[in-house]
Amino acid sequence: MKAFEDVVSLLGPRFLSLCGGVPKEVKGIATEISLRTGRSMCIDAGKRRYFITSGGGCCEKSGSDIFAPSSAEMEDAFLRICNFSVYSKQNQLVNGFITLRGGHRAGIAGTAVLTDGKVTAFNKISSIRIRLAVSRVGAANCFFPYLVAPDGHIRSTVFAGPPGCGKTTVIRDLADALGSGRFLRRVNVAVADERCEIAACCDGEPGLLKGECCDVISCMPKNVAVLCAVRTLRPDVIVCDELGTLSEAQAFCEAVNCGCAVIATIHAGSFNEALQKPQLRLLCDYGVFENLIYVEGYDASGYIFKTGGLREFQKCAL
Amino acid sequence: MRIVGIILVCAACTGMGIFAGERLKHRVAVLSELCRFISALKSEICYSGTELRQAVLNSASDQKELCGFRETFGKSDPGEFETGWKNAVAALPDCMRREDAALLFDLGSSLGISGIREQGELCERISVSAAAAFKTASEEAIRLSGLYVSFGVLGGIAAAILLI
Repeated sequence: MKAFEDVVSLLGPRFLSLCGGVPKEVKGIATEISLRTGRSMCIDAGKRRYFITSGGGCCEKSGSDIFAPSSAEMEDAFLRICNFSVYSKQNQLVNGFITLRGGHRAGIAGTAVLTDGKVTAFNKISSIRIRLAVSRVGAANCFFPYLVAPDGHIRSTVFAGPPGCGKTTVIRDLADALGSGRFLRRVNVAVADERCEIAACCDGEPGLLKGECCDVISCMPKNVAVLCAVRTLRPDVIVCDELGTLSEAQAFCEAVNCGCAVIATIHAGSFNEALQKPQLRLLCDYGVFENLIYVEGYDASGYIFKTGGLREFQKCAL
Repeated sequence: MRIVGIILVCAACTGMGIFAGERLKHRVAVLSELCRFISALKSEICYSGTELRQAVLNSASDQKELCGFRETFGKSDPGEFETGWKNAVAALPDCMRREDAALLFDLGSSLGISGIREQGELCERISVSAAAAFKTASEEAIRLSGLYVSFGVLGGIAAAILLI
C-alpha cells in the first residue's frame, strides 16, 4: 500500500486526490498504474484491472465517469516524476523509462525526438505506465534448493519468465538473502542495477536491499558493470536483471571464468523459448548457467515455476 | 531651533541621495552574483546532472546577496518548483528591478523541462542577458550614484535656504 501511495504522491496533488478513494485492498496488491492521454487511468492489481473515476474512486468497468488525464495533466505528471529535472533522466528517457524514487519504473511512450538518428528525448507524452517495485522478504525461499549445490557452492542461475511474473522481486530477495546470510553463510553480492530497479538506490543508500554484504552499481550498462564488479568488488555472486544482449552474455562468461556465480533474469514466453534466446545459447556454449528456472507467475500458494539444469542447456546447444 | 531644522533637512536630503546611490551599487552586486549563480547552475545541470532543486540550492549556496532567494527556495514545497521559484525571485533584494525579476522568471519557466543541451543553451542565453544587465547597471551606478548624492546634498541646501 505504501508503494502505491508513494507513487501516486509523486504524480502530483491532482492524481493524489483522484486515487484517494481507491480501497486499501486494491492499493495493497497493485502492481501497475497506467496513465494514457485522453484515455482511462487504470490500476492493475492481482489479476484485475480497476479504472479511476472522475469522482475519486475506482471501479472495474470502464464507462463515462472514468477519469481520462488531459495532455496538460500528463505533461505535469511527467515533469513531476522527473522531479522537474528532465535533463537528469535523459539517459533513462532515451531508453523509454524513468526510475522513480523507491525503484518503481515508469515506462514512457510518446513522440520520440531524434538528433542525428538517435533518440534524445520524448515529446508529447502519450502514456506513462508505472510498475510498482515491491520488496517481498521470503520471495526467493522456494528457489533456495535449486541455487545451492550439495558442496555449498552457489549455482549460476537464470530466471526466465514473461513480464510481470515476479522475476525481479525474486532476484532482489535472493541478493538480500545471500548478502545477509539468510540461506547460508554471508557472501559478497554485487548487484549490477542498470535501471535502479533491484536496489532502488537513493543518495547512495539501497532502499530495497538490506543485505549487509551487497554492493550495488547503479545506472551503469550491465556489460560494463559486471566486469567492473569482478575487478573491483571481489564478489562471490553477481546479480543482474534482464539479460538482453550478447555483450552482456560475454561479460557473464568472463565473470564465471573469474570464479563468480551469476544470477540473472531473462524475458521469455516459455521454457523452450528461453532456451532459444541467442544470449542464453552463448552462455550454454560456455556452460555458464547450471540452472534455468522458468517462473510462470504466482498465486496465493506462491510462485509457479519449472526448473531445468545443465542437461537442458546442453540439449539446447546440440 | 531653526538651525536644528535646517541641519535635519540637509541630513535627510543627503541621506536620501546616498541611499539612492547605494541602491544602484547594491543592484550591481546582486546582478554580479546572479551571473555567477547562473553559471554555477549551468555546471550543475550540464556536468553533474544534479536534480533541479538541489542544483539551485548548490548554485546559490555561497552567494551572500542571494541569501533570501536561497532560503525562500529551500523552504518551498519540493513538489512545487514553479511556486518555489516565484517566491524565491520575489525574495530578492528591493534594489532589483522589474526587468531583473522578469529575466529570472524567464529562466525559471523553462528550467528542468528539456534535455541537457537545451538546458545549457537556456542558461547561456539568460547568462548573456544577465551579463548585459550587469554591465548596464555598473555603468549606471558609476554615472548616477555620485550624482544622486550631489542632488541629495544640493537638494538639502536648497530646502534649507527655502526654510530660512
